[in-house]
Amino acid sequence: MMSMGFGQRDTEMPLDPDVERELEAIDHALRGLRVAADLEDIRDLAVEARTDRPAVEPNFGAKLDQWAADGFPRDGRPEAREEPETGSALAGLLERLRSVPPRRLLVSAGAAATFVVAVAVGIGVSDQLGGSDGGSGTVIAPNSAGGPAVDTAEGTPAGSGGGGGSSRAELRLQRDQRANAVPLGDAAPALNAEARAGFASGGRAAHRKVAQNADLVLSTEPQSVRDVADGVVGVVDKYHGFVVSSNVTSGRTSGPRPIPLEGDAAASQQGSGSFELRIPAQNLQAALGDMSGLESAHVTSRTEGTVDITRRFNSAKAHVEELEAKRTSLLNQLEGAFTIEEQDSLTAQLRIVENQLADAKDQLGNVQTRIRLVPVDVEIRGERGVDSGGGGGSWSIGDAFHDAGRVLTVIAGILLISAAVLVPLGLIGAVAWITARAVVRRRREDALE
Amino acid sequence: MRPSRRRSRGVTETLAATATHAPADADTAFEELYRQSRDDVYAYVAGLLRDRSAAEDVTAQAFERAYRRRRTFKPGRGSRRAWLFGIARNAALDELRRRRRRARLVAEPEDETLVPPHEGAEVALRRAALRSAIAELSPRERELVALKFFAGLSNGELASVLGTSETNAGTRLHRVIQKLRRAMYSSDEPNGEETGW
Repeated sequence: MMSMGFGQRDTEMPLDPDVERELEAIDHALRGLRVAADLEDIRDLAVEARTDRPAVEPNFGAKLDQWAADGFPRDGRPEAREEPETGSALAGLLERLRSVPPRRLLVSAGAAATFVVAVAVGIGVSDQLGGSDGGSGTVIAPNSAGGPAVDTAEGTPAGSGGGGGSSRAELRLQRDQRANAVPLGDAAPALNAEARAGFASGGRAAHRKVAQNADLVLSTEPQSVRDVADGVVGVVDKYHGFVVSSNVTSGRTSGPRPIPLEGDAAASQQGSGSFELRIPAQNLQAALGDMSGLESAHVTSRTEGTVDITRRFNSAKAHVEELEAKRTSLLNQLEGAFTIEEQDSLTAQLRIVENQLADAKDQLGNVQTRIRLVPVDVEIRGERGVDSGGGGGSWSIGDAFHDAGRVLTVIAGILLISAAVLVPLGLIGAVAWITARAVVRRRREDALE
Repeated sequence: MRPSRRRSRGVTETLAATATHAPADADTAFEELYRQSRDDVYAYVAGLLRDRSAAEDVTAQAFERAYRRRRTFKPGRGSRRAWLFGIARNAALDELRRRRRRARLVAEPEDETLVPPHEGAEVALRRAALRSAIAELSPRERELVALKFFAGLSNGELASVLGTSETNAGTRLHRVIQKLRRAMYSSDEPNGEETGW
């Protein structure tokens, strides 16, 4: 029968009375007590076996006693024979681990695992939050609309109108932006600076065709929404752009304060505005800069993106050229046509090609317009208590609470992620430990077979 | 330095409860356990391994392990002696496993001095028959003999060491005793084979 672990018991069943009597006789015999006459053979057996038991050799006994008196130091074990060399270091380590109480071992292992996970999570978090250091790094500006968020830091001091408040907004939203950001083109971040330089100077990157877009979210006091909206329109005019659509709701400035509402309703009560603009590409940075610097406006987020559409442009252009060549060829053939049927056929073909050419030119024109005019979405939010000084506000107790909340949130996040990692690991470890124990126990029992 | 203020007034004596699991207590208990069990542990291990030097190593190892874990002993799970023999058993079985992996040890030469010459021929013959019978037992059965007769464990302790019920341990022990009885008393003539420890 396979034995159970230490301390475990099978269900107790009463022993046969005769068996119990004989076992009792053995115990009596071993203790030197009287045994019933009919069990004398058992007494003799027990006494003989006890008397004949292996005895400790005096030399070893003395060494062991001394070692015990010294508190069993690791280097003082009385060696009766040489230990096998193989794996002695590992065996020593295992022996040391075995001697540590399991609870302490578990605590140490748990602490080490928590530390490792915390470091890993910390590195991950710092990697997510720390991308804006340095002048040439890529900045992901917050974008409440959840649109594309690829941007470069060159010439775009994100939150230039907001100071410290803007930085906090960036921190708050950066992670979400990272998750939601969809690059507008494969080469967008790398290409952006080069392409922008090309637009400005006609330099070596001028042959690349880049479509840009931008989102800007401005916050202002509810009573200033209209002024900021006017300012946006003024900037658009200044840089020869145009407004595709706009929607402005003025904020309340007087009267009883309404009951706070959730979401859009609340926002509309405090005033808001949205603009869909087109700005000439060469004026984009200047226009965005001016809009960011509007009086009373605070930049909540600023997002710019680019996409390389050179291929699309070249394809459209080549298609136009191909159709023009075809048209020229048909015109030449028409000049040389003698029969009416031939002339009719060529005229029909010419009509088709001209239609195709018109479509192709439209497409090329669209692409060129997309390159030349940048779509810019501007959102204006009317919010009470917005610091719109334009030069960075002072750090208030509210900011302190906000920052404290942020720190606590990050800590809670780290703990949650740590738990998410450690709990499954712990379960796996527990199962592995139980399995390993069962295997070792089984192997030990097998040694008796 | 100002003397600390008394927190209680009118207290003339204090009663301190004995800390049964205090470290010093564990040390004392282990010391006593060592004194009581040294020879028994060795006898059990030697009976199981049938190799003196290996038995000495394993005995030392068992006491060392037990000493290092002396504070982990839980009285609710059995007696200290059973706990110690559980550790010794694991060490001995590990040794048996190691032996299996290595080449089998050559059996030790018989110890001619095991039977004192002044004892009678009848005793000598009976003892020889018993030794022979024990030597022919399976390792599992021999372990029962070693735990019961060599180490002197009670049936409860024996069950605890083997991790089984007391009834089961008693039944198995009884079976082994019957074997030994038959071997000792069924034939008048011993087979002359002796096995040293």
